[in-house]
Amino acid sequence: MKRYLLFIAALLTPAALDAASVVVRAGDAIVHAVPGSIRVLAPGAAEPRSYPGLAYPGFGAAASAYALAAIFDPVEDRVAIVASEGTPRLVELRDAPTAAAFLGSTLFVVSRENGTLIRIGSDGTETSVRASGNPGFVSISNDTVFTYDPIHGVVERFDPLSLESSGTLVIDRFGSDFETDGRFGYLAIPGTGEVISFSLSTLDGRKTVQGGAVPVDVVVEKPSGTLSPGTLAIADPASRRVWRVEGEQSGGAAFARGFLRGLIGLGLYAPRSSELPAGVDRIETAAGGLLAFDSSSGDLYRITPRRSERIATGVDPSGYAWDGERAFYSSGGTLHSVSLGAEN
Amino acid sequence: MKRLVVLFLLLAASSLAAAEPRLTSDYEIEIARRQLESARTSREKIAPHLNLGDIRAARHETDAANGHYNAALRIADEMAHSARKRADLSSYADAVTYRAAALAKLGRPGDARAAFEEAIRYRSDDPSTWNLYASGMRVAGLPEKAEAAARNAVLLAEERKVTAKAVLDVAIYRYALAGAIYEQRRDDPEVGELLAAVVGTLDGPELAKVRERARDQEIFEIFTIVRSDEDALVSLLNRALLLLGRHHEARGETVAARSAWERVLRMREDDPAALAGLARLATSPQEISQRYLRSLEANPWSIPQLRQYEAFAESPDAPRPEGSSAGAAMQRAVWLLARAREAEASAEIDRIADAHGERPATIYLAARAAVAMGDGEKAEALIGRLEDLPEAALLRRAMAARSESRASSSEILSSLGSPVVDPSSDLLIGLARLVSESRSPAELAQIDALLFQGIVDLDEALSRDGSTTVFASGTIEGIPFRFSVPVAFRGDLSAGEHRLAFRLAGIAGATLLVEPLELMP
Repeated sequence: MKRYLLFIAALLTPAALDAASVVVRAGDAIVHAVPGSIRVLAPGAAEPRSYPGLAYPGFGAAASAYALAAIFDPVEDRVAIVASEGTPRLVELRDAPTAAAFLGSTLFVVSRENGTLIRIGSDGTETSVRASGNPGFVSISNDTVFTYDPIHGVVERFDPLSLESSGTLVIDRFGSDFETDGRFGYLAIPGTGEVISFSLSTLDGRKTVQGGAVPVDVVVEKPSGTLSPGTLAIADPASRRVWRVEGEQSGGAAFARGFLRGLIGLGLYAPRSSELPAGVDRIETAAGGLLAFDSSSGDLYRITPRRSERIATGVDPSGYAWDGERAFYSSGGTLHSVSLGAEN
Repeated sequence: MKRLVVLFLLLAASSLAAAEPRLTSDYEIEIARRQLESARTSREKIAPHLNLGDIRAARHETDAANGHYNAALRIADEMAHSARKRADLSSYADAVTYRAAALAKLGRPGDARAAFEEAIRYRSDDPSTWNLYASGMRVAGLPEKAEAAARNAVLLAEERKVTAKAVLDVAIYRYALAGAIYEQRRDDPEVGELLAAVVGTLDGPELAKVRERARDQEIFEIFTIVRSDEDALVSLLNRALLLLGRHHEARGETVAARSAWERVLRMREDDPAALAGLARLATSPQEISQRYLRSLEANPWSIPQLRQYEAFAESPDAPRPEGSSAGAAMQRAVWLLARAREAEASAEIDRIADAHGERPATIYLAARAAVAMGDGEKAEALIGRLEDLPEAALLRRAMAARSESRASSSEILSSLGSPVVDPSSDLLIGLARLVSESRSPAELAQIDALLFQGIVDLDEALSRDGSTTVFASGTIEGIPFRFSVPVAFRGDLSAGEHRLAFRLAGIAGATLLVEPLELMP
């Protein structure tokens, strides 16, 4: 595995002892935020462009089609909106950010602490509405904004322009992840070991399947179609496995059936592999497989149906991204990259 | 184990603890040490490390405190890694919560928040995790985030209120929420409602057996580390009543505030925070002074309490504190400083340090004396030893203001001609301070030669016999002044406005010392 050291990050500012860093993609550029500094590495550039940044970069969101990224500081309640070209724009938020997603170039942020959904337009204007309860997750599907409050167990649907709520669904509480695939919403519930699905259009039709021992993170590998189910991957650190399961499909009960196939080994990721010694708890799709992360060790893995392989260590939970060919990760304040190669 | 840390963090993180820290006794250190020594597993070692760290931090022993926090962090990291290898996600979530608490205490709010967020991925249904999240955010100085986390803790705990332990937990979480709100909005009625509910719960039938056991075991000490439900009940009741008193005080509800603090004193008659609260509410100078004395006798080394007394000591009515206890001596040192009698104050502080050892509180007073005497080098050396305290910045600001005002007063002095007619209050104070501080005979001679004339408002005469009237004090330009001895003026004069010719003799606290020359028509 060939690794490329891209550049040495500056030392952390003396005032900020925090070590957190965030890596996120902005189109073809990679944005690397460390305390006090934001670096934007454009494709082909030998050196990144550096800008003053956030004191406590915590997490990011990407709008790759618009070459935009957002880096959040959840301590000082700020966001840096970074374009692949140009200077990052720092926006002070009225509420504390918990999670975010882009719809086009518009950023939607939920604040669990303030119980709000915030919209930040491309011109920087900030509008917010009270949500039902305290949303901790936000997901965009079919140009509609969905939030999930894990404490009260409420999914809420919002119009992205008016921010008007168009429905709520009281559902399972204490979820650790919320994803959507265009037709269905999925919740990982670690306490019950279940993954829950529901219809986004009708906000009902709750179905449940066994999600391994402790499902923590879900990713939609392939969205569901009218006739064909999608595919989900589920990180289950208690089983040290990443499960693959057929997602929901309209009018069918394939969700449960799909998972059963997963359990008996069909479509199960790397069942014989022992390269996940502590399991993984964060996953995202990348280059025909998954990037998977173990928060306890900071180990980053690449997992394909054939094998799993550790590609980095000492990585921050929000400190990795990929650009289609390479994974970028921050370790010890330094940005590295590794080729993901081609494997199907 | 986790519960002990939970309550401790809750108490240690409270704004009340910061504003009115209690004397952390050697006994409590001993308890935590024994807890650490008897700990067999890594998990059991984390709580005493965090507890010892907090006790050391409360004593301003930052290096020792950070040593314990770093030890807790290291153990928590090992525990998290090992738990994940064993696929024990419950232990993993515990370990990450401890890690987050240690990071918060080490002053790493971003990393602490990330770790708390990691913990609640697995434990968003657990009120104690949310409560620790709240405590961590308060330690990190983020009360609005603490409030949100504390609300989740209360909500979830209320759903499972079935056993006495759970009832006590709800009271703990409500207290934490009240503290987080109080830190942002002292007079928010929700604070009073929450604390009244806490006191009601602790007094209520569900905890009758715990109260009974506390009585049987004669538990009366207020601990920062609690080892049992009985300890927790007694300590929590004390804390809740103290905070309730502060909240009522902030709302101007003095009767309710007094009632809360008096109940604390019925449980423990030497509680320094309750005594200080009652001192703030007292109206006669003698009672105020006496209350502060009792409060300082209970904890002579509390800088926040000394600072509260400082505000009162400035008053000309503040009686000279008498007595030989450490608290009385500390109070006297502050009183002397307020009267610009720095040399006497320094001697008093030296005597205290000789008898009881040097403490941050004695260093603070010594630094104040050095600043007041304009001894920048000594002041800087002393302030350097208080770097972890907010008072360090305060003293530095005072030092800068003092040298600025001195430089400008010297400059003004050289431009003044005599007599100075209707001097401003700033000029009078600046020159009076020069008289008190100047080591330059030339400057003193210059000030001595200056005559002033201004409208004074004389206080009631001390006596009059028809041909003379004796006055001792008054105000000029809003500044109180007094003569060094009562002075008899010719004529039967009334109190009120007169034009006075005078010389400046110095300043004592906020009172000018004036040498009268003539009452002018």
